[in-house]
Amino acid sequence: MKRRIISAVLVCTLLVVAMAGCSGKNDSGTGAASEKITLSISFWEAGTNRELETSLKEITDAYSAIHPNVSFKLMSQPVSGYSDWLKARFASNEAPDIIENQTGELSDQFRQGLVLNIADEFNAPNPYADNKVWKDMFMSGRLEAAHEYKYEPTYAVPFMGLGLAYFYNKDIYDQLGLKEPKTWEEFLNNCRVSQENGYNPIAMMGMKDDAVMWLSWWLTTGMYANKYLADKNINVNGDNVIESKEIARAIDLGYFDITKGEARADYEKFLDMIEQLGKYSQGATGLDEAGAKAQYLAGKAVHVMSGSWDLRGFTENKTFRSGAFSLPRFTKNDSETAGDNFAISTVQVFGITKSAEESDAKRAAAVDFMKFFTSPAQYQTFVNTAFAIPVIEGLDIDSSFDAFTAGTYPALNLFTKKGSTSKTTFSTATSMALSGGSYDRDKLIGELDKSLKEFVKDVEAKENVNRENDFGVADLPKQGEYTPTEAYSN
Amino acid sequence: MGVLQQQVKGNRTLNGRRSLNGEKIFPYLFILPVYIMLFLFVLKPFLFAIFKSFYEYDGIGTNNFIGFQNYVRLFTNDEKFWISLRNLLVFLVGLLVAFPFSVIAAELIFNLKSDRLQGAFRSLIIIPIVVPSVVIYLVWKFIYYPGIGAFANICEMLNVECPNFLGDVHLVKPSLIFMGFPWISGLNFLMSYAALQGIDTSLFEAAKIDGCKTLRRVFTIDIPLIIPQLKALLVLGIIGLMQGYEKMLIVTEGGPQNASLVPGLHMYNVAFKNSPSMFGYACAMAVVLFIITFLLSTLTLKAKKGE
Repeated sequence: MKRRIISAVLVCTLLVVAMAGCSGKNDSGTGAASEKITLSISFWEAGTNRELETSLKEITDAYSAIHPNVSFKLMSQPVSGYSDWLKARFASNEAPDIIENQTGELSDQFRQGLVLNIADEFNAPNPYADNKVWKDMFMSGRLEAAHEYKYEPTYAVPFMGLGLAYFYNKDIYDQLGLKEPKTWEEFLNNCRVSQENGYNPIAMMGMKDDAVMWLSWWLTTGMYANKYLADKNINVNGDNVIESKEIARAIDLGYFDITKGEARADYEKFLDMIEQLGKYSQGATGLDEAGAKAQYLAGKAVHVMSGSWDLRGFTENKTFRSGAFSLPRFTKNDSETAGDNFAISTVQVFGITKSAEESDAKRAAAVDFMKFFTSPAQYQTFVNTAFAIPVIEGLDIDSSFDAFTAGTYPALNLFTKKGSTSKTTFSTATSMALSGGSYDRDKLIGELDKSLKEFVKDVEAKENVNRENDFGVADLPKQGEYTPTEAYSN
Repeated sequence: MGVLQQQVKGNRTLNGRRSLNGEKIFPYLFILPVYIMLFLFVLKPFLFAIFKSFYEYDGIGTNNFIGFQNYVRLFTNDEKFWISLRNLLVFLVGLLVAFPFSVIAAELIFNLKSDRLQGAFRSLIIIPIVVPSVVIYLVWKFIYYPGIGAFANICEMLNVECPNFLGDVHLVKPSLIFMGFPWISGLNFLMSYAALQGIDTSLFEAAKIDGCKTLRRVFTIDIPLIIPQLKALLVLGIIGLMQGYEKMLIVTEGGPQNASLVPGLHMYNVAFKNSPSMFGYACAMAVVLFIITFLLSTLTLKAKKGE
């Protein structure tokens, strides 16, 4: 009898243990329900009303409601200095478990082993979206953009599109009888009319390096991307991106020489166009982001080029009606190689850091939360609250986002490369051209050539490549053939 | 003699025992935490910077010993560093121009007859010390903005073209120096004023009896007697200028075209703005800056000693 009782107790114990094991498996990957997990998430707050934090709070609360063992620590940071803050955190092994970052920096952090590889999870179903494969939920080109068009979905979870456009004062447009421009010519015409009527046509944030780079992206991508991407001596692997290694190789072997030939002609044309913009951008080199926006919001400037992050702020201003149009396109009249469908846009990404490897349960919870976050129901909340440009398919979105969602090809980073300590860079050259002052072009291009030579040395040191190993271009991912895009036509 | 020797021996023993008993060691224990903190937070980072200046170091992964390569690059291949030093020289001239204004203010207030007025003016000058410098820089930036700034509005009223103060390579340095006009620094004022108060009043009375007018007294008595304090302030000012970069970072980010770049900002940029970060190189720059600052300070102090 005693033996039977002991046997019965043992069987019951085994059953309980087995059932407990089963319930663990059904826990959507958040580990044993009893294990308390705190996930820290860092992000920068670009909006003025803490929209990102508000929406994240709402979504994390919803997640904690169904996974009571998981709590969150939201670490909102100012835009300025976020990158330095993150570097310091990594250096002291105190990185948050989930970090927002720019694609380039996250890519560097992934290569350094600071960000986890979650490729398998991208190919697994998302339990919060009818078990649809996670990677298939993202809009076309967004996962590629998140991985800098280089890798298959591996480490970066895009969560918000970022696009550039021109914001414009609708009241002034109506007053002057102007229409939203589609092309470069139409845009310049609107600027001319605005200036003739006593307005500063463009509030250009010429002090901001990023904004100067936006100009370069816009012009070079629209005018020359088809040309340089189709050049196998430059875009060796034939994808949609010219990598640093490829540019370094092209410069070193003389395929891209800014001092002569087509590259010089193209760059001089670029400078001509910047000078044209400079004529319509009063005091550009003395305006930073805040100054340019203040000028626009004061009704003194008709246009300002900025990003989707300003959409809400500008739209909701009470002084005048603000609209946005996509960056004007280039036609065959502007450039023989002009192309369309190029996106001057990118995505903001989340990455899961090695801090989440503290335990298997924590890692699983971090991935699971990312899946939860990108599920249509939660993501719609995020888009509505944060006024974010969506990256997930099948949402009900506001039409005002249209100006920021053009194209699926990346920007051409050609006239932006520089040596790490170069005196004159493409950015300073653009600033010179914008200023309206006189400058010696030959001297300027000579200085840029020096900067590019230093850039080559930097790439050689950073990537451990050189002429002997053909700058490592054979190892570049995604070998293929570039397909040119059609130019815009009215 | 024997007694004396015994006494000396006894004292030594006594002293030694005191040391052992902690009577002499004990006071040192009180100041030990200060030295530990100084070592940890001042000396150690400094030594670490010297050490890392010989490394290719990005603060996270890369950490290769490269000897003097950072220094060689700094001196032979970094035009920006030399530009930033040249800019610094201009700002140094600006510092020298602005420096006397605090002393003048101290003199003017010191010579006021009414104690109440003295107190009121003193407070008015000292209160702004509590305003963070970032706020002051941002206000000035708004004053300078083209199109919407205060100067732009004045120009518009006068119907003249407004200069691009921060966007013109020729104007940006004078504009940065002009910021904070009339350049009365709270600390400089306070130290000058305290120094003036420290002068023996019998000297003023003697000067008055001899018929010495106020202006003459200022130049023959006041200023010569507070020169040591003024030199100390100047040394502090030079050190602050050599190390500082916040103003340029906030107002111009070193632009346009490096016209307002200073070594501190260049160092910050290579350490934090470059991808990957060049902490090792920035450390080499910091070491060179330290040597320059050390030499300048020593020269100024030696001049002080000579007098």
